Order: sequence, then C-alpha cells, then structure tokens
Amino acid sequence: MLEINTRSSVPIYEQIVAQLREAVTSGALEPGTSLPTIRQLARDLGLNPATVAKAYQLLEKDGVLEASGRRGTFVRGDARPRLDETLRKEAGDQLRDLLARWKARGLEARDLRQLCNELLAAMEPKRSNR
Amino acid sequence: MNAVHLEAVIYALQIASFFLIAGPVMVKTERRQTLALNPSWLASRPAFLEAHGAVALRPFRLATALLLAALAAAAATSSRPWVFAVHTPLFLAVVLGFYVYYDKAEQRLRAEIPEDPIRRATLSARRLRTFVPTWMLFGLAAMASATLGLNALGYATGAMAPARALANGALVSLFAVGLGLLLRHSLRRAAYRMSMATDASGRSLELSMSLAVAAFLVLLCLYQALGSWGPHPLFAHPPTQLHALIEGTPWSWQIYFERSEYRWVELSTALCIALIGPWQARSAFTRRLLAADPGKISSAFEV
Repeated sequence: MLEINTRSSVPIYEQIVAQLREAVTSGALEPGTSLPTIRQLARDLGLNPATVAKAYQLLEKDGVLEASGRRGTFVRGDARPRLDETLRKEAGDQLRDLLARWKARGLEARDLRQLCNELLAAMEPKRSNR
Repeated sequence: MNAVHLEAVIYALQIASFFLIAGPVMVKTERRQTLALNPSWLASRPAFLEAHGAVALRPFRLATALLLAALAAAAATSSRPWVFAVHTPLFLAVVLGFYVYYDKAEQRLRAEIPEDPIRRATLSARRLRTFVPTWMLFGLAAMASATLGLNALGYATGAMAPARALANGALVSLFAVGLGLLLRHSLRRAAYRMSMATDASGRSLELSMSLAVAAFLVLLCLYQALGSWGPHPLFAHPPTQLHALIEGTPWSWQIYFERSEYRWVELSTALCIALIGPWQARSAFTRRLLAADPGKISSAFEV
C-alpha cells in the first residue's frame, strides 16, 4: 500500500518514488508486477495526475519501471539489481566524500578503516552467549 | 384471494425488502464512508460522531408503511394497472426522492469534515478478474452471445420476424453498453477512504451485483428471443417500448396487464429487486463495516 502525507515537507512525487523503490527492494513488488495506471493512482490519492506521472517517469529513468503502451506500467525484471546498484553508487559517492573530508583533517586511512569496522560491528545484531 | 392479490404479495416483498433492508444498508454504508474521510479528526471530536454517527431510518419505515398501504388499497380494487402504479412509478419516485435526500445529507456532512493529509492507495492494478469470479464473467458473456446468436439465426432463417430479431438484438446491445459503462465506473472510481481490504470487498460486491443484475436482464432477453421464435410466437405483441418503437407497433398497456408472459417478466423483476437487499446486507463488506463501533471508527477501517 502507498501512503502519502500532503502536509509533509517532502514533495509528494518523492514520497511516491521512495515508497515504490522500497516496495521493490523489499520484494513487496515482484518483477513483472503490473502497477496502477497514472490516472487510477492519482484518483485514489486525490492528486494531480502530473504528480504521479512525474514519479513514474523518474522510476522509469532509474530502470525500476517500464511503460508498455496500453498494457500499463510494470516493475522491470532487473529492477532489484538496478536499485541495489543505484544504492551502492549513492552510498559510494557519499562515503567517498566523507572519507576524503576526514582524511583531509588528518585521520589516517588505517584509523578510518578501523573506525568503519567498529561502527559496522556495532550495527550487527548481537549474538547470544551460551 | 385472486391472482392480482397473489401478485401484490410479491410486490409487497419487493417494497419491504428495498425499504427495510437495502435502503437502510445503503445509507448506513454511505455514512461510514463519509465518516472515514478523516478518522483522526473524527477521533478527536466525539460530539460530532455522536451527532452524525447514526443515520435516521424513520423515513424508510414510514415509506414502507405508506407504499404497502397504497399497494393493499390498489390490490383491493383487483386492478392490475393500480397495483402497477404503486410498485413501479410510485416506488421509483420514492426511491429517487430518498436518493436525492440522503445524498444531499452526505454531501453536507462531507463539507464539514476537513481533508485528511494522509492518503492511501493500493499498488495493484484493478482488473475485473481480481474482484469477480471468472465463471461469472464467462457465464454472462456466454448468455449474451447465445441471445445475440439466437436472434441472428432467427433473422437469417426467417424463424423470427426480422423487426423482432432486430429489436431483441438492440435491447441486448443496449444492456451490454450500459453494463460496460457501469463496470468501467466501478473499476475506476476512487478507492474508499478506509482499509484497502474493505475497499476490495466493497468493489467486489458492487461489481458482482452489477453482473448479477445484467445476468437477470440477459435471461429476460433470452426468454424474449425464445418466445419470439416460430410461426406462433409467445410474444405476439412487442415485449418492451423499444420493441414497439423498432417494430412500429403501437404499445398496448391492456395487453401488458392481461398476458401471462408479461406478468412473468414483471414478477421476476420484483423478486430480483427483493433479493438485492438480503444479499447486500449479508455480504462480508457490509457486515464488517456495520459491525464496527462508530465510537472507534478509526480502528474499524484498519480491518
């Protein structure tokens, strides 16, 4: 189910894009799934069809959705690996900037690696000791 | 007790079922839909819920009593035209009046409820097959095709008067176009502002009812096609006004009230209307919706 908040500071089309991406990543939307038409979704959400069209176009551009003429809009077969790749790229870009910034402030690559490992280890679910 | 009295009993069933079951269920369901427009706003205003949570059903009971009394009076005269006047034109006029009255009331209420900033929609494409069983769709299509085929065959072989075959075909085609528009509207209309599970069952009920009514109408068309067959057809006179128009034969009310084949059509229509109420009241959608406590209406839509 899609849920949007019209009072949120996040633009509505971005809310739609984020939730559709999340649904594909989590497997809630399987590859090949037919999505509602732009008009149907706009009518259900009480939005201007242009807003939904913008969200669909962005997802098509990202390779998540594909429009198939009168048959409708579908989740692409390779949507998940594409999304994973996009996610990796975004994370890589942000991490590169961040690491470069801390390196410029004097931290050694060895220290940064150790810090990353510690932070990742802290994120891991703790194993119970028997 | 004569035949007119017996028929009046069936028409009484039609009136009672519609005004005591179907009508109240429709307005109560509509009120829940209205209140569900903004559940969080409603939850913080118990006084509003107390004032508008229930719909006044007294007009339905009053209309039932008046229409049944009129029907009894008409039946006492043993006059079919009078009985007809009560169970068709008067009945339809009261139904229309109720529709306008209750729709206005809901519109006024909707205007008082602010728009909910949270909006929800399902991510599944709406297809007819999702909401109604395939056998229902194929069954209806088969019946309609059989009716059209029968009329075409009658027209081609001369087993049916050409004007009658054309009129029968035109009637089926008109019903098909009407049904197509109705189904399209039911599929495309905005989702109810409540849980998506309830929306799907509501849409399913709406579509199933449209298909069932269409199946009934196609059955009547089939009856007319079979009854128009051969050198001595059952429907010697035009079965409907459309037939009379296409066949260029003047319509005679007297024949309509005297001939048994027309009586069957009228009585079965009354029974069909009478069955709609219990079906709607017993549906999963209606039961789930009406069983919810109006005081906790927001939770009712999270079913």
